[in-house]
Formats: sequence, C-alpha cells, structure tokens
Amino acid sequence: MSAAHIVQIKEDIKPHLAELENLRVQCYDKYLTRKKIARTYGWPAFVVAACVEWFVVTETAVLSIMALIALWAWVWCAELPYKKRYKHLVIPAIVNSFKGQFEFHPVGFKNGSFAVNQQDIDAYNRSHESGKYKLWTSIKNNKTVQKLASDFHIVPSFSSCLIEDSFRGRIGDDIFIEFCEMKLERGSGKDRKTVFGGVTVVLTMPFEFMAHTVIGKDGGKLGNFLIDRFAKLETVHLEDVEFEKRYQVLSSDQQAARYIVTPAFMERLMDFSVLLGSIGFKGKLAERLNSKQVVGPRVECEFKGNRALFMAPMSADLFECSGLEKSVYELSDVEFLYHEISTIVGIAEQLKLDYLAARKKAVKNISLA
Amino acid sequence: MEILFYVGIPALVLYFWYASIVTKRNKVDEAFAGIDVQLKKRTDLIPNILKIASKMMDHEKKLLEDITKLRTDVLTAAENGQAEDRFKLEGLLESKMSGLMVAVENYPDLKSQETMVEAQRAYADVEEHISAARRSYNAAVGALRNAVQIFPGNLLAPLAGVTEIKPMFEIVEHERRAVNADDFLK
Repeated sequence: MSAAHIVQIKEDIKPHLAELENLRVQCYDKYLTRKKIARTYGWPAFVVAACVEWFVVTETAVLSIMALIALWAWVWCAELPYKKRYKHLVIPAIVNSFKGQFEFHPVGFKNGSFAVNQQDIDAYNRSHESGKYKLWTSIKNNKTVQKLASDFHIVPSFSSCLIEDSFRGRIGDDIFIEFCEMKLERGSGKDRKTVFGGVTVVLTMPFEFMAHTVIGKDGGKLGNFLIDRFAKLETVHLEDVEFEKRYQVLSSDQQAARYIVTPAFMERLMDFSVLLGSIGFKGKLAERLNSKQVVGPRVECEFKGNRALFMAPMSADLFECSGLEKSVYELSDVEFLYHEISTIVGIAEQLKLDYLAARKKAVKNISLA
Repeated sequence: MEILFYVGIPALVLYFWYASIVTKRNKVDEAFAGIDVQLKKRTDLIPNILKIASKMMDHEKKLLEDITKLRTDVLTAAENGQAEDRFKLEGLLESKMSGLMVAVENYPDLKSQETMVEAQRAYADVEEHISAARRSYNAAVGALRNAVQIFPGNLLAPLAGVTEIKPMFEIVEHERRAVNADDFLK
C-alpha cells in the first residue's frame, strides 16, 4: 500500500471517524450486554430445554440446539450495524484511491454482469437508513446471474443466489472489471446446499478470445473421461504436472487454448491461488497462512467471447472490518480491506491479461498501418 | 449368440482403436498445418517491423539485409514445397529476429517510439501463437505415439495408414545453449 494511497484514504475517512467510533461503542455495549444475557440465562435454559426435549418430547435435542444457535446469532447481530456502516463509509474511500473510476455498492448495480433489481437496491437503502441490516442481501432468481450460469460452464446450477459487495471499474484503458461476493445455493429446506461461496470476477476484454476455453477443477481420471465424452469441448493436455493435477482444461480449439494457457500462465494462476489463500484472514492466522504458502482456493476460469470469468471459492468473509474490539482510529482494517480489494483488482495484471490486451491492440494497429 | 459376444465385442474394440488412431493421425496433420499458418503470419509481419527499424538502426544494415534475404528464401521454399529447408530457414529467421529485438535496446530513441513498441508487441504476439501451435503439434504427436505404441495399436497402425510418425518439434542443439547478450549488445 503506497504512502500516497494511505494519505488519500485517511483524508477521505477522517470526517466519518467520530461517527463510526460512537456507533462502535454503542454496538459494543449492546454486544456485551447480549453476551452476558446469553451466558447467564442462555446456557442453563438450553440444558433444561435439551433435557426436556430429549427425555419427554422427542429423543433428540434438535429444537434446543436451533434455539441456542438463534440466541448466539442474536448476540452476534449486535455488531451488524457497525460493520455495515463501516463498509459503507470506508470501502468507497478505498476504491476512490484506485485509478480507473472504480465504484462500490454493498449490494450491486442496476446493470452489468451481476445486475440486481432496483427493489433490492431500495430495500438495502431502507435498511441502511433505519440501521436494521440483513446478513446477506438475498436475491432469488437473479436473471443476470442465471444468464451467466447459462453462458459459462464453471457457474454451477443453483436455485438461489446471494450477492454482496459489488465492485466495478477499469484496468488501464481497455479492461472492464466487475467482481462481487457471491453465494449460490441449490435445493430448499433441509436439502439446501451451498454449491459456491466466494468471489466471482468478470473481465470484459477489448478483444474476442479465439476459442471457448474452460479451466475447471480436475475431476479425476473417470470424471475427466466422462466430461471429455459428453462435453462439446475437447480436453487439452498440458505440460505442467502440478497444474494438470489441480485443473482440467477444455477448449473448442487446442491451439487457441495453449495460446492463453501458456506455461507462464499456469504458474501465475497457481501463484494467484496462493495469494488468495491468505486474504480475508486477519492477524496471526493470516501470517501463518502466508508463511506456509497455503495452496489456496482452486480458481476456476472460463474464456468466452470477450469475457473472462473467474470463480474463487473462499472460506473467509471478505471486505469486512475485524469487529467491535478495535477502535476505528487504529485504521488497521483499512490496510486489510485495501489488500483484499487490490489483490482481486490485480487479477488482470497477475495473469498478464493486460499485456495480452496490449499485444492484441498492437497487432490490430500494425495490420491497419 | 455366444459367437456374437466373443467375436463381436473384441471386433468392436479393435474398430474403435483403429478409428482412434486415424483421428489422432489427422489431428497431427491439422496441428502441423496450424504451425504453418502462424509462421506465414510472422513472415507477413516482418516487413512492417523492418520498415520501422530501418529508419533509425544505422549500424544494423547487415542484420536487416540478412533478415530480408532469409524472409525471401522462406517464401521461396514454401512455394516450392521444400518443407525441410523451409523449417531450417524459419529457425534461422527466428534467431535473427530475436537478435533484432535485442539490438533495438541499443537505440533508445527507437525503443521509446510508439510504433516500435507496437511492432515488438505484435511480434511477441505472433511468437506466442507459433509457440502455441508447436505445443499443440507436440501434444498431437504424443497422443498418436501413445495410441500406436500400446498394443494392439502397433498392429493396427499400418492399417490406419500410420507407417511413420512425424517427429516432435525440437530446437536445434545450438539453441539449447545459454544466450550471450554481449553478442547482440555492441
């Protein structure tokens, strides 16, 4: 994080620090009170209820466990207004420091690859004004994400889609980037299962990729064989043994696939996974992950038309401040958030897709000359 | 019924193996032709680069002349169908072009010109395409070799018209040695 960025972000956040600190203190008091209530009355009530449920009503303690979870969710929700307000004020200041007209919305935008309905944006605005926030902005049957799923193989089929924290902007003059935190779920009720949770990035390039290429998870010998038989795309066997163990590459054109997936690209993709492995975690855990060079999430990619889609499953909750204990004036969370956002914004540079765009532009100009 | 089972299934397996060898053979030919296409693109790009470079590279007249001559020889060999000579000349041409790109470093004014930067990028793009085509060709040859060398592929290969497998693309011995930058930066 450059000194110039730090200065600019601090200047932008300064007018809001007092307000945020007051809110933090209020929420922290509420949190401690609720925690005290939960510990004092919650645990004994749980034990009694669980015994009654087990011996008298049913032979399980499911309802009691659910009630206990709901109680601790009530305790934890005390920090929600502060976290949401922090995000609302700090992240725009961070994205303003990036070149390329970056924008942020805690929900999404009305157009683009992750477009949301106006009513969802209005619902968020109402909750923001009242201070009563939801955990996720639940957007069911999101048409743009469903279109993404029909266009791209790596998006799994889903029945509900949850979107949070949407960003968009320009990298250089030519590449348009959009990314958000996304959770895709399939099924309902007891059968509900999360099929994807993490970051989704779409790059709109200034040229068309010559072929449809998918870099997906390796499905093992049998899985890969079956995919090869039934998918319209052919398997591309590559030279990097480590890469082949982690990924399976499919494409409509063997040569065009190798043009994008060069040996250097394979190394960079795996390095980028390592980089993503430690973001979202803070403090000692982040240091431990960094020192062990954790392999990181398997970032799946797909190149089709003029778009490149990346899906990185992440276990950490991204773009959040650390919590109520630290004072806002310490500003350490600002650095973490900046690091998270800039890592993802840097994807085009990390994978040298910006250089690919520059080469394509040069070829076009030379052939017109 | 039993004859159908004991004869039919092995016959079916042999047929699919034979068809697989034919498909792989055709893929090798297709991949080989793909290299051709990319080499042609490079040959077409070279005059543009030489036009930009010749304006300022006063001390590289011999290098520019060598490249021009080699390009002409490559085109002649391609027209006459002399594949072996052609690929040898392509290798020499590639080597000279690499030398030219390094020699540009000696001319700061040329290096910073937008047209030269674009020419270098366009050339780098063509080289990436050639590299992709060669890797594709090597993968196709590797797949054909596996199909033909594993039994019963070695028995079916002559039936499928595979009597000789094209070699994989390999660089010549002197290209394996480390490059001495002093040879270019004088």
